[in-house]
Amino acid sequence: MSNKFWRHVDWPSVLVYVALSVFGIMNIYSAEQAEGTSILSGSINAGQQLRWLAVSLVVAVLIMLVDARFFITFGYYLYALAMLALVVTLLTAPEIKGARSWLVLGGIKIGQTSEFAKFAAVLALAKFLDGYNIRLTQTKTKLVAAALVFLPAALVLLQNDTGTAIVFFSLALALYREGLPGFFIWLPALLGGVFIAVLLVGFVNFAIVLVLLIAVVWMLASLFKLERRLAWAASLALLVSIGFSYGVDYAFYQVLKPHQQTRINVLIGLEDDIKGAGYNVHQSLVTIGSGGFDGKGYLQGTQTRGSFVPEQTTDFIFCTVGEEFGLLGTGAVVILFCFLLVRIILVAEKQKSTFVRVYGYGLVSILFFHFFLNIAMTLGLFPVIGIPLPFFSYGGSSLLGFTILLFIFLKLDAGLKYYF
Amino acid sequence: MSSKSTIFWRVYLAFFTLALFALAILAKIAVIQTVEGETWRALADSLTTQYVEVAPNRGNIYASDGRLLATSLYEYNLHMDLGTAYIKELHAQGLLWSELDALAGALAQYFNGEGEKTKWQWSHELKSAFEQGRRYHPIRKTVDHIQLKQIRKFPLFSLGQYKGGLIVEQGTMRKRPYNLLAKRTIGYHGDKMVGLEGGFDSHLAGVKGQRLLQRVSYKEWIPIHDANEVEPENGKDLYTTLDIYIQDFVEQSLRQQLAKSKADHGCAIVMEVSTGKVLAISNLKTYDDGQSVDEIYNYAIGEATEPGSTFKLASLLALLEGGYMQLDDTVRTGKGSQNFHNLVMYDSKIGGHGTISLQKSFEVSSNIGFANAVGQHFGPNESRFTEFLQSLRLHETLDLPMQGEGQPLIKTPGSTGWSGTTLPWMAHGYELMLTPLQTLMIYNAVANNGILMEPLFVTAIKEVNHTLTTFEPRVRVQGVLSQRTVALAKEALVGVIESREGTAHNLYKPYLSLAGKTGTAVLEKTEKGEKIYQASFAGFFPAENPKYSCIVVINNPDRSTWRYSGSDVAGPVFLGIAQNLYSYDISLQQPKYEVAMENIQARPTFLAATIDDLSNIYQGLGIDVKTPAEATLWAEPQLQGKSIALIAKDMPTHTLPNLKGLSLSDALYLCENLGIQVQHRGMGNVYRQSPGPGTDLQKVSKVYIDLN
Repeated sequence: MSNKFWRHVDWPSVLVYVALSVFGIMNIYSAEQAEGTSILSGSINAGQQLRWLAVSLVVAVLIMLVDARFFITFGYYLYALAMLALVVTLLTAPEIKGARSWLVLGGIKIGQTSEFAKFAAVLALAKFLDGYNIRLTQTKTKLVAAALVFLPAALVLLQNDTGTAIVFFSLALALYREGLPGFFIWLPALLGGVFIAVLLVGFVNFAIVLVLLIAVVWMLASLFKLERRLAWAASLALLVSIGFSYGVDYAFYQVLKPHQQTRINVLIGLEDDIKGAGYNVHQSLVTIGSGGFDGKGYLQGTQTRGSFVPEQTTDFIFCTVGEEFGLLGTGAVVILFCFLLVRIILVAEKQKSTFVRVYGYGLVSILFFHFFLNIAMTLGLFPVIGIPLPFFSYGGSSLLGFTILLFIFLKLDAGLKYYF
Repeated sequence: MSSKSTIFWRVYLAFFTLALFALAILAKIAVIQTVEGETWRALADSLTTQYVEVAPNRGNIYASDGRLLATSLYEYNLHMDLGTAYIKELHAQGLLWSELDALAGALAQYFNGEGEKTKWQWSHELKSAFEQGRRYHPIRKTVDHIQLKQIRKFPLFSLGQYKGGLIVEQGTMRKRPYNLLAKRTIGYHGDKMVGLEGGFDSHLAGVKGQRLLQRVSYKEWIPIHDANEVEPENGKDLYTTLDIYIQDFVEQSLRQQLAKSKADHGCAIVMEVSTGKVLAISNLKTYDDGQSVDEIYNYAIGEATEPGSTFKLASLLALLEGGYMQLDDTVRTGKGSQNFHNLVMYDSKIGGHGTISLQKSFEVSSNIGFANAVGQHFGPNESRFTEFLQSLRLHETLDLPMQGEGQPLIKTPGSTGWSGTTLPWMAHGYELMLTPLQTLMIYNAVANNGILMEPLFVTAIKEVNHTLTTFEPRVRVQGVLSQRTVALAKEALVGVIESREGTAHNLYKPYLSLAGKTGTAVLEKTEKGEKIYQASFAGFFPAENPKYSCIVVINNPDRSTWRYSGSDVAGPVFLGIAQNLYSYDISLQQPKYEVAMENIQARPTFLAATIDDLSNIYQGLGIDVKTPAEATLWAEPQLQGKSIALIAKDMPTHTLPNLKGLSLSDALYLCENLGIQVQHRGMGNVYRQSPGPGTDLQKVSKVYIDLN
């Protein structure tokens, strides 16, 4: 590989990646209170993560050395392989923290296959949309694209890993960029609104309001002599809403498990349970909030020391940043992520190849979802669904998965510039 | 809108959404960390600091001579943190299993014995605890300080909590150094408040303090300030009237008799006559094996039963004090059985005693005699009898500093349960209920010239050596019993033992002056119709000038030996206690001693002693002593006619002196002044020494002496 290729690599992104990963390891070290133990020690999480970072960097270099066209050509194969891994995992995985997401072969923990399914799904989607005469206005295209997203999402959901499953739907954002009708974005948003409204006021009240609205529509129609067709349409929409809201009511109380109900209730303020479901979030807020503007100093966080926040090296790693580095630290992390995301969008928009652009948007969607939901979760803005903060949270599969996801994009960008 | 502009619009929308969400998150973070920062910080402080209670030291309970009856000692509960970084590191290096095996070996070796875990079990347990990630795995409860010191040397544990994982939590446990002695009377505190521990809990417990701790790391809390925020106030000490020596031989005597008579349970109380001080109180229950005993209930205080014949003293007092009868007045006892309102009363002697004096009736414990005497004189006005008993406050509970006193029952005419048989049966101790202590109070009152004292268990509450409260002896009833009545009652009580026909003549010893009364009560009948007896003996001594009163009650002695009466079962315990007290309390021997004084002959019993000691001793014995003119420390007594001359004696300073005939304290004084260690054996005076007298001190560092 010539010097010319390395010049084309988007180094600012690489730099941000390294910064986030290293800062992440520092915070993992603090969160597990392993003072006295060297960060190089394999007996602590930070040391493990350091090893994983080394592995990830090696993999990143390997990706850089592979011909970019490999990912385009073998996109579907990688996807098929990832799906196969998901199925094997689903069938064989032991239950760890309620989820069956760990692939264990011959007694060795290979990894969380769902982390690798992410880039595979993005690759397959990019390859599909890059195809000849493919437009997202076509029903068939929509169905195939949806299938590519739904398959891994469904398999991960079956593994009982709801958080990661949700992440796959973020790929709708990439599809939207490629011309998916906006309906597919705002309808789920609307339904989400209805969902929360039903939970807040209850199905019966909500239905009464909707019925009253139908009456209002007809009153307005007759008052202002509007087209009857419009009134019918509005009525139909409201009736569908009633049906949907009943479905929500049913699903919430009959399908969701009690702990999931509680989490949602805590989130929308129906329950204030700081000892139970709200415990994590409450402790997380205390930890972040007590950090103040400039934090308590590295390894000085009293909450972090006290192990008050569960999962503080993984899902709640952001708390450590908040407590020990304050607003300066949390602001820096948010800005670094935003910089990376904007950078990827800009790079993606420059691409001549649909494949790379779609891949770039897929990458942005997934990173953004993780970044936003994870931090929103620690701030109590979103239910605790257990997804990691990319590059930051402790977890080898997660770090390696995100590294591959990012570096394939950087390779595609640099490599294709180099070739074309 | 063209498709291209739509796309651009969408890209902008993507940026906009990103910016919006990022700003939202930043705004939320900023609000949490700055605007609400103070609130969250305060909350964080409250979570990382906590007030812990600082337990005060519970006060001690002392015997009358200052010996400890109950005190609090530190104890430790041990847990193991199997999740320390060091242990994980060991595991990563593959060394943990062998370390845990070594620890298991040490634990199994140290805690060996029945029901303890083997090394294999320990090893298995520790390993699975590690695999489960246990950070607080229980190792051992209630370890004392000496054990803890050993355990801290074990493999892994020697590395401390943060590496080796040994978590030590300190608590206190209550110890009674004398174990069983007066266990129920000393009592317990906690869920159940028993005995003095319970009764004086508010004084003993102290007041808890508070200390503010800050969490500095996982499970590690350090005090924020040097001093406690609220200092604990230690509990006060309790000084009881209990005498360890008396308590010990009371318990010994009772225990032996329980085993001998295969009784279910028994109790004994010794009281100081003039003050009402309870000097010893023992309650023993025999276990099914017939050998081991324990104090599980304070029968002496808690168990109110029909006292039986020991109550005849009260009837006698009523008859004498009312002026109805003299000791030599006769009563009919008939042929050993008599019908009272269709209920037949029996005397223990088959064939009966015929017509005898009141005193005799008391000595032989004739039920019929007392039933007739009381019936004859109180029958026309029964309430005068019960009023007399009430004037002695026998119907009221005593004023005890502990819970659980048995409720006495003295029926009154007209009250429920009063019938034609009540008076004759009350006359010999039935149809009424008293606890052993309540019964003892009547005997103590007679011994104390008619003054009935409140029982006294505690003399003082002290803080360190500063006395906070003292409890003085208190009179409960005074002026009811005349001196004449008391004197006659004493005479009758002495007769029970000294008269040849007295029921307790088996206790008679010419050198003891005892007064007392037997009681053999039938408490109930079992399902098979077998009677359950309660054998008792109450009395005091020395009879002419009583110092101690005592009651012994033994419940359900084995009837197969036909020895279940008060004189056979309870009497020997009383006698044993009296004999022990006579040898324990020198003052009791005073009268006999004075007689001996007249016959005293001067004899030089010591070969050598200090002049001061010798002159004190001989002067104390009323013997003339001639002290030497020389001002020496040591002297040798020599007989000169009827007096003793002390011959000055120089002790060598460079050779070993002759220690023969010296007391131990003198020998020690002499040798240690010469810089020689002494090892001694036996008691009394020195009769041989090694090395011998005259040995050069330069060659001697230690001298062995035998005493006899």
